[in-house]
Amino acid sequence: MDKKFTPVIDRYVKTLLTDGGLGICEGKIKVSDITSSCPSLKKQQRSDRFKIIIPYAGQSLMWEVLFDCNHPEDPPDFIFGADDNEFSPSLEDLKCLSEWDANDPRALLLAVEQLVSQYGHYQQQLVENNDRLRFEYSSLIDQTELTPEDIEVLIHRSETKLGPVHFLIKLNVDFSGIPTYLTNDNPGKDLALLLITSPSPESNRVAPQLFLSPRVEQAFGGSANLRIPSYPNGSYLIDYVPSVLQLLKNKVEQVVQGHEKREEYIAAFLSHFGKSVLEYDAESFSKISFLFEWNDFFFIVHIDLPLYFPKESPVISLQSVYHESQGKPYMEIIKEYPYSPRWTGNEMADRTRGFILSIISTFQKSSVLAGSS
Amino acid sequence: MEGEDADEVMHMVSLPQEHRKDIKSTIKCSEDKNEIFPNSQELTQDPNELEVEIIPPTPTESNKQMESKELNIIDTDYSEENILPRVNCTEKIIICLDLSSEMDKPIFRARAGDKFSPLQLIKRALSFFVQSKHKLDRDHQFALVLLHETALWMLDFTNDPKEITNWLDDLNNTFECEKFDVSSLYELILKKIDLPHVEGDQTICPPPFTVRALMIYGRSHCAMEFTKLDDFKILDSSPYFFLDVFYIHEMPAEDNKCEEIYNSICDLDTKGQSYIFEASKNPTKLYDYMAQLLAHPLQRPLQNDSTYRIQQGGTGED
Repeated sequence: MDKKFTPVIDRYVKTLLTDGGLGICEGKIKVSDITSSCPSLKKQQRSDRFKIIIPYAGQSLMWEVLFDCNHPEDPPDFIFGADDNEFSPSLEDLKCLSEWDANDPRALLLAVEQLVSQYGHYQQQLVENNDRLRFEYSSLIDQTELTPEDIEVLIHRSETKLGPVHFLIKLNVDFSGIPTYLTNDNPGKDLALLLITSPSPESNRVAPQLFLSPRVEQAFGGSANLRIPSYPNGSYLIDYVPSVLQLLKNKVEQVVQGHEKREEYIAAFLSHFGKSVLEYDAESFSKISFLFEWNDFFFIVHIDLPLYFPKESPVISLQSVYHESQGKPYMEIIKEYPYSPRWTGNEMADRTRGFILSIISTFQKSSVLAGSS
Repeated sequence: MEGEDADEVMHMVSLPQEHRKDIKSTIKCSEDKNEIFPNSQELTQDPNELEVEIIPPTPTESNKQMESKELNIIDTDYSEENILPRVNCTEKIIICLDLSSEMDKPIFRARAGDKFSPLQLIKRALSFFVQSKHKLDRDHQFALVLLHETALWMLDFTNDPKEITNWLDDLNNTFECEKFDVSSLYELILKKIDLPHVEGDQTICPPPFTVRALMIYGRSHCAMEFTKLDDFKILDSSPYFFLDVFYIHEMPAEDNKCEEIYNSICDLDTKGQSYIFEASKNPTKLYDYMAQLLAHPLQRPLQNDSTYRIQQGGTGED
């Protein structure tokens, strides 16, 4: 069955789908449940009704949009969610509907944007009407750099109570210092969002969640590398949100610093051992390998530098050029060696050489042993 | 036309004296014999062997010494020409393996007395090579070319070292060869590869990949021929093409052509950027040199400048 819209409506919907990027997560709008108000006997249906799913405060708003296929140039009606019976913006505030321009393909998109904005005002009213929520919201606005545009609140209401409550907060962190190779595969946006959910305004069972755009997550080396603290009992947003913001800023700092420090390390090692170099990562400075000779015994040293170097130490491995173990060149990963993140690159180079000299004889013996088995 | 070509070929093959790396003269020139004959891995110290056997240090080093003593010509500093960004881009490595019957002769002798043929040792060394190269960077690719009287393309580029080692494992047949046309190798490579073009500033913009031909030549009795110059010139003129050669041979003597072959190998290195090794008799050295060949051509020092001793001072003592 072909759920095709009449051409006029189709234009509106297409624009909605491609250009819609609402709210602080700049999320796409989805369209579903397409039906027709006038089922016809013709093969081609003339669909004019559908649902739109709008990302808001980490949740999804589902609204129904009702056109009339017999009068496609008329503005549509909207039906909001069952929870939002009290959301009824006045037509005065909805210029896009009262002055519907049927010729503008963006007409529907603009109408939805205005409605979402009105929805935000409506939610804001709910916040104002609750002491706790009002305090939480205003303290964020007053005492941090956050602006109303950075916060989306969604409060569910029922007859008996308020809740669950969702606060979606856009954390403004400067990610621009992160080296581009770390984000090469993800040309999208830099976005960090904190979603805080609570069953009710007074509840202590507050669940925070951090959302990073793929680009930022990649820059941090994956989601495992960024865990936020759990929400302390009895805490307020004004305590918690800045601490997460600071955590992110520190992480960016570490990543930027890590890059600089790795570059320094590689430069120092090249200045000490450049004539023995096999290969090194000239872009992200994440690895370098050398061929060394000790008493006519040649061996390879691989060094891997972690993202959070120097806090995390480099991983050093020795590899044989003569002996195999299980079909592969014999290799030993050094589990422990003298290391301090405070040493300069030069000092690390010297100490690494000293350390290798202290273990090379043992390595040679193990290598020979492995090769003969 | 034929005559002209022949003249060109002749000119190419016999470069002026200063570029010739003469094997025999190294015995006279090298100062420290202990450097040539490392103590721990060497075989029996037969004084006769010391005189006849030639295990020179790296060719350009001997070249330098020869020049300074005999011709007083300033060693060409190749490091200033052809400056390329030191980027570890992907390498496409073409392993060119000689399968002449000379590769089967057991000319290598281990300390314990066991004898090995070049083919046996090279197969093992190549296994180390591709696996180590893969560990350095999983994107590096390997292809396989076999050398009989001309070059034959055997295996297309793969980044899986197992494909190469599996293929090498099954390789056991060698062939009697009366000649080798080295220009066929250049012709073949040019046919199979599109070298990257130089984009923008050559000294800054890295290429998407470099191409390295790693030629393993094992004949002492069969000199190299050079029938056509064109393809060689094209490849040679690309800053992203490199040639490394591993020459395996018997002891140089009156009745073989080792010296001549070695010279013609050195002549292929017009830019001074190649790594050229030669080995005979000592299996350990074969593995040592294979390891040195792991170095990325854009990041490695000139062969002349490479050094591997880990202690400072370089005396070999703790």
